[in-house]
Amino acid sequence: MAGLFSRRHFAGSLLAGSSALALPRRAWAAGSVRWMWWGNPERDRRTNAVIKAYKAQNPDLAITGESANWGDYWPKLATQVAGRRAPDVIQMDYRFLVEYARRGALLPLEQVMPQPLDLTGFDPAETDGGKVAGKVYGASVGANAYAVHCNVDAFARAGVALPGPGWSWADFEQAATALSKAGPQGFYGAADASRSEDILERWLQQRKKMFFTEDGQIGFTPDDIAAYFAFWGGLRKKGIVTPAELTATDHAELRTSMLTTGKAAIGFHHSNQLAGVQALMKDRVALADIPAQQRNGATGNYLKPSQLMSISAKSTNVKEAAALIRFVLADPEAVRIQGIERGVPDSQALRDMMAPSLGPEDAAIALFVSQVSKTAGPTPPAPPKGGGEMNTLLPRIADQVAFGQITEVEGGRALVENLANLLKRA
Amino acid sequence: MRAGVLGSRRRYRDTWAAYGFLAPWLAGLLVLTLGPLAASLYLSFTQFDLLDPPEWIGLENYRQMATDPRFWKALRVSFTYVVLAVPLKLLAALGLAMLLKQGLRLAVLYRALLYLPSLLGASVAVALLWQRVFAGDGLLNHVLAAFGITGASWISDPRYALDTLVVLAVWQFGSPMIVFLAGLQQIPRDLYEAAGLDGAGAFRQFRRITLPMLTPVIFFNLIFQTIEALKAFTQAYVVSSGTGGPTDSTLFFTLYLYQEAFAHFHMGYASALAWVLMSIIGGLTAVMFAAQRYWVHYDE
Repeated sequence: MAGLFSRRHFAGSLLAGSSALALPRRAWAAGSVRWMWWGNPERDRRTNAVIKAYKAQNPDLAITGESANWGDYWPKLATQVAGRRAPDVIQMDYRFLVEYARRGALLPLEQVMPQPLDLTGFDPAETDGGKVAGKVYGASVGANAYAVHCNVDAFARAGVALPGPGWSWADFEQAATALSKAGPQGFYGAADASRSEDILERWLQQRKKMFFTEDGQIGFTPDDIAAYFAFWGGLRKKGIVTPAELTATDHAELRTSMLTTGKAAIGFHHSNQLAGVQALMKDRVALADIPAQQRNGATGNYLKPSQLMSISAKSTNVKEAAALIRFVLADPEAVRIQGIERGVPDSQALRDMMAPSLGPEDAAIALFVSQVSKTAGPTPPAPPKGGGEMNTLLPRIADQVAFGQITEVEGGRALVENLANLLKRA
Repeated sequence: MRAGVLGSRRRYRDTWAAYGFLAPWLAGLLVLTLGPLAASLYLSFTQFDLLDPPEWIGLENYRQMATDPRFWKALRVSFTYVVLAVPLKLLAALGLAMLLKQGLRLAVLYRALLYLPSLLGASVAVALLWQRVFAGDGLLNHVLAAFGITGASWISDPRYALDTLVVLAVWQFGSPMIVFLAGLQQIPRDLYEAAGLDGAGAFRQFRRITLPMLTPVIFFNLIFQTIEALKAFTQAYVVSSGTGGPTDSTLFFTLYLYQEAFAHFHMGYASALAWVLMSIIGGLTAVMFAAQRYWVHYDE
């Protein structure tokens, strides 16, 4: 028995262990890249196919992909960055780019451009959206706009015409009313967007207000929010948008959206999410622009990078990471696999190359983005530190208003007070 | 003399051997429990967003709680949950333990079946199931509809959302039930026989014999379940997708702590919240221990 735990035996097993550890050396020598993104099942499927295609070209490279839904992604990323275990390739969002770049968590991409990250032939938008203090910290995966997603079959069943460009909120209300009336019990014309940060932002811009000013101040008043809540409250009382207890089951994921769960004929998502929405639904879905205050008025809509690809400042595989990003953005095969589920490429050559092979949803997204680009305003300034929390603050207060726990005016005041407090604490 | 020296040497060697055997656990305790505990205590006096280094702000985090409405809301939710879920769960557990003790046929089978929900307990799958059962178009409302009753949207209505979680907790009566069952079997039979001869009925026997004899077990279950209820997290997290909604009606203290830490990156504040929770649990446990001499009977 003593022999089992003898020193020699122990040393031997240690050696055996270390040689086992040494086995994947070759893979290490060729580099390994970890890529993390947020998304939906459709994006995961396409992204894994891209990774497979890249592996076929680089059999020695170890690539691991990791995905999470939007809500889980940010805690996961922050924890990994804090623990110095950041993924090499990080999918970034415009609103968090400043926070990560400012704290030195991201690599300035100038270090890997133009080799291996060669982006010749791309529009200036490709890197402009990823600039912080004059340096590029993220390469845009594609352009994106916010959109009204319409259940085409529900519109047809109700005999309502699909909205065209230049529609107003009054037109929206009319359509939603007809859709509600024609639909079965428990089916509504539209999702209640009083908790949608994206619709609120565009609605404010239509009224010459904004979320945050250039210098990081709040760009709206409690009255603006109260008016917004009152608009949606009116529709809710008329029973043409989803009631509070239904809206509360929407957890900001595509699969819980009022549109994909068949509770409403109109939903609100990014344009590139059409692919993900359609994958979850039997009925056909079409995109429309954001309704304006009056017909042909300003929509407040704008183009922004749907996502950015960044490299961790702590990455030990910078070259491999940059090469992977180039592949994802510029390689014809990768671009074809992804379609425009991540956004419309910022390169005319790639857009032309893709056009004939696009599936119906992807073609619709491309058309929509090119239409919006004609009327789109400038991209608003990046939110100040702590401003990203509108994300959770607005739904919470909008729900309190919708459930009748506080009035619309109180809701407006609560939102501004809480937001100011969050900015102060950040 | 010689024997004494030898003995102490052996004892000395035994002590080291004991430490040797303890080492894995001790290392775990130091590295995985006490280390993080100390770190979190330190962080509770800082402002820390995970990316920037922590900045010392003294008692500011603790001061901030006083004026933080969501802190008070979270406390209220957690305490409501404890006050409702713990007694109901213990009642269910005791009731079923009494039934099982009657020596039903297939008692072993029933015991296993009744314990099953507790095994599944705080799992994500069960919370998801709960979501489906209590949704507006969920199983429960379909059953109610068969009787002509229109049910509410239990899980997404702020008036009922917490109650559905209480029901979920009560349904997991398995482990206190097993403890009660063991306690019941410890009570000497002759006490009942004597009481029966003296003409005490079943109810009287329960009040005069079963309950007093069972108080140590009730006490144990009470403490244990209270701590568990204050620590509850998964159910609310899954059912509300981490929001504590609708309108913070299921914002357990632990969930608020999690949101502050991982959704808003207020790690310092979240650490302070964790220490407040620990103090509350410690304080409550101490009070219950102090109060036990008024109602817990130990067989001296």
